[in-house]
Amino acid sequence: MKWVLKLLVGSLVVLLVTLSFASTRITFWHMYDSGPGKELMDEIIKEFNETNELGIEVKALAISFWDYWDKLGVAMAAGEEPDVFMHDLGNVPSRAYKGIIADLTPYIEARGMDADKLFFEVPFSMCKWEGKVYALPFETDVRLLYYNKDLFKLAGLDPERPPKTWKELWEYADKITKKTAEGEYDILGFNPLYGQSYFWIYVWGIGGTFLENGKIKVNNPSIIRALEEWVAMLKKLGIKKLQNFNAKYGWGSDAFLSGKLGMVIQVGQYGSTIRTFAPNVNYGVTYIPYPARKATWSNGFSLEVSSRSEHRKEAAEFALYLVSKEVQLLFAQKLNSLVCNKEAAFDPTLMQNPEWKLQVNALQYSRFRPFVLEAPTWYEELQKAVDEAVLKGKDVKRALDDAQKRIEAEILRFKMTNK
Amino acid sequence: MAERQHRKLLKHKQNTVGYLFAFPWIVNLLVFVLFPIAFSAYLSFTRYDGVNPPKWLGLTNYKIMFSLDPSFWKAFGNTLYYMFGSVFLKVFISLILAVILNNARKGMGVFRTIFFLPVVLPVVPVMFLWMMLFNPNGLINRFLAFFGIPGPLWLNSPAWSKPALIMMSLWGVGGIIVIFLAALQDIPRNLYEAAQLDGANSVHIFFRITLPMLSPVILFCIVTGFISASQVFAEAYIMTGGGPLESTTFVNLKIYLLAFKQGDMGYASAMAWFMFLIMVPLTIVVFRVFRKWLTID
Repeated sequence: MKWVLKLLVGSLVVLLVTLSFASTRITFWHMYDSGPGKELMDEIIKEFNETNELGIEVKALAISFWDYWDKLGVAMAAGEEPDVFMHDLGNVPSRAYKGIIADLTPYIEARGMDADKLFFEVPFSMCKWEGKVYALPFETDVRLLYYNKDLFKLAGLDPERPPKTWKELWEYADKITKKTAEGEYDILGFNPLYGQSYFWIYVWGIGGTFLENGKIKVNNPSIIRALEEWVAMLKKLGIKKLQNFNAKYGWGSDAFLSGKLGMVIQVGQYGSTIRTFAPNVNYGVTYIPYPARKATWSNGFSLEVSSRSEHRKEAAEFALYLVSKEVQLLFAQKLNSLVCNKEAAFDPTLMQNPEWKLQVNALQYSRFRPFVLEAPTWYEELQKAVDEAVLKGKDVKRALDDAQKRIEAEILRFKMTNK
Repeated sequence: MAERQHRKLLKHKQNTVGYLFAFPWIVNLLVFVLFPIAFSAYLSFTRYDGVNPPKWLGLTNYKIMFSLDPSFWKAFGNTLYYMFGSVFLKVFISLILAVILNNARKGMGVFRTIFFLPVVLPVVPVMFLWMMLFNPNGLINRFLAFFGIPGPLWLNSPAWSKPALIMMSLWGVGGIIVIFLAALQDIPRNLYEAAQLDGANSVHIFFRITLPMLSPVILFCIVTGFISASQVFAEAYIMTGGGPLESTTFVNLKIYLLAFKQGDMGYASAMAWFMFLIMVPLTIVVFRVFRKWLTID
């Protein structure tokens, strides 16, 4: 009988010991599913699991960007989303409104952190909703102008003096452009329909805005003027010829990397793409030329905590770790990703790299598309108006008026169904 | 007496075994087909974002669909355009090909296989192939340029995107050809012999014998074709994303985008039910119209 007692006591001790050391398991979904990104993320998670003092064990799942949104959406519908996950920095409030994500303000305050000072203002403002913080800014981007120095030289332009204004941009572009015998574009100076060149950047560039008294308005005079100029530019180049040119470079081949495009607007990480895939392209990079004032567009990824998680505190702890200076510095150094933590971004060695400095500086005046809870995809209606004016020759004012009407109908629809 | 009772019992037992074997399928039908269908009918009267519990809205979703959302009607028009365009063209072309194949002395088996082959190929890679063909500098436009015809932008043009998708749908004629070939073989030879004896030429024979004898099969192909064409989705989702200018946003794509991208399951369900309620009378109309045109045994 004694040995039974011994066995019982022994197993009880073992059980108690394991329980007291038992970690809180949290799940984390992200998009770093391959290459150096995955290696770094795995490393960082391992480090966190080994060193954190709260006994948190993070179980991560990497999903490719293309499958990520469907998978996460379905998981949310089933109430099975991970405790902490990456998401779109551009529409945080829509999830806050639905109540899926947790208010992180208490966790930030508990740390005595001055988040407004720590993060870049533009991406961090996208994390807030009704005065509270619902997400942490993990990674952002800016758009810049990349230009081909060899094509500049060929056209007799100074490769160290890229265009500053929109007027200069066209002057330079016209000199670079070369046509084939059939009159099609062989080399194009600049193509507003290629890369990351979007109409809203141009609107901001001429000093226009999409918000009027806090409400979205896509048919105000400044936007009408911007679209008129935009259409005129494209007509001058020939829309069909531009599309023919673009069609040549849709299949994993890139006009700029092929040396057939003088200047292109791309995200800040494009530099490493050029160095990897077209090391012989001698490129320069600068701010996007502007008609009236500096403008560029940002997007990014956030870290969010499920409001239905049982381990919100631990999940927030891990999210805060991912935006800490040390971790963000690693992402900046190893993946060249534009991190939102200023202390990491302003790291002196990083700032010695002129391309990095350019990105960080551009972030000071960059913008996100304004978020409208009732019509989160309002910019698709704007894009449709632009396409109608460009492809179908629809009257600019009418196209924008119609877009405004569609957006207002969308807002009304939201109000009718969200009483 | 006992014999009869025994038989009854045996029959009963056999039935039980039969139902037992069908049980997995019945469960599948109830749980994964009928229940979701019924539930979507309920959802169409609610706001459901996929996260919070559905909230009853009455007819609001339908009201919005009819009064506040012209983009739905655009999608509906696109779907009808595609349905009528692709189904009639497909049936017409496969009928011609089937008759030619049927009359060929040699090589019917080979050509039948060749025409049927595309049907068994996986859809997505084939679509990528077609995207290359439709590229403004692709094979189709080069072929046209050879004859001095400037080709359109196909998938990049709001006017040509739907015709391009209809052209692509002809890729699937093989399935219909096989059905037609089987039906052609079924036509009694003595009908043709009698006609030939009476001195009918081949045109007469086609219109007076072949076509009438095929009419039930034609009707079948048109009706099933309509139903499957009304569900067109993958082409737009993969090749065009619904663009340019919503010219290839079909109803099913719209439902998908609403439900899974915008999280508006209630409104998406309302659209799905509207489509269902349209398809039923449409099928009946097609039946009626064709019964007048074609003689059906």
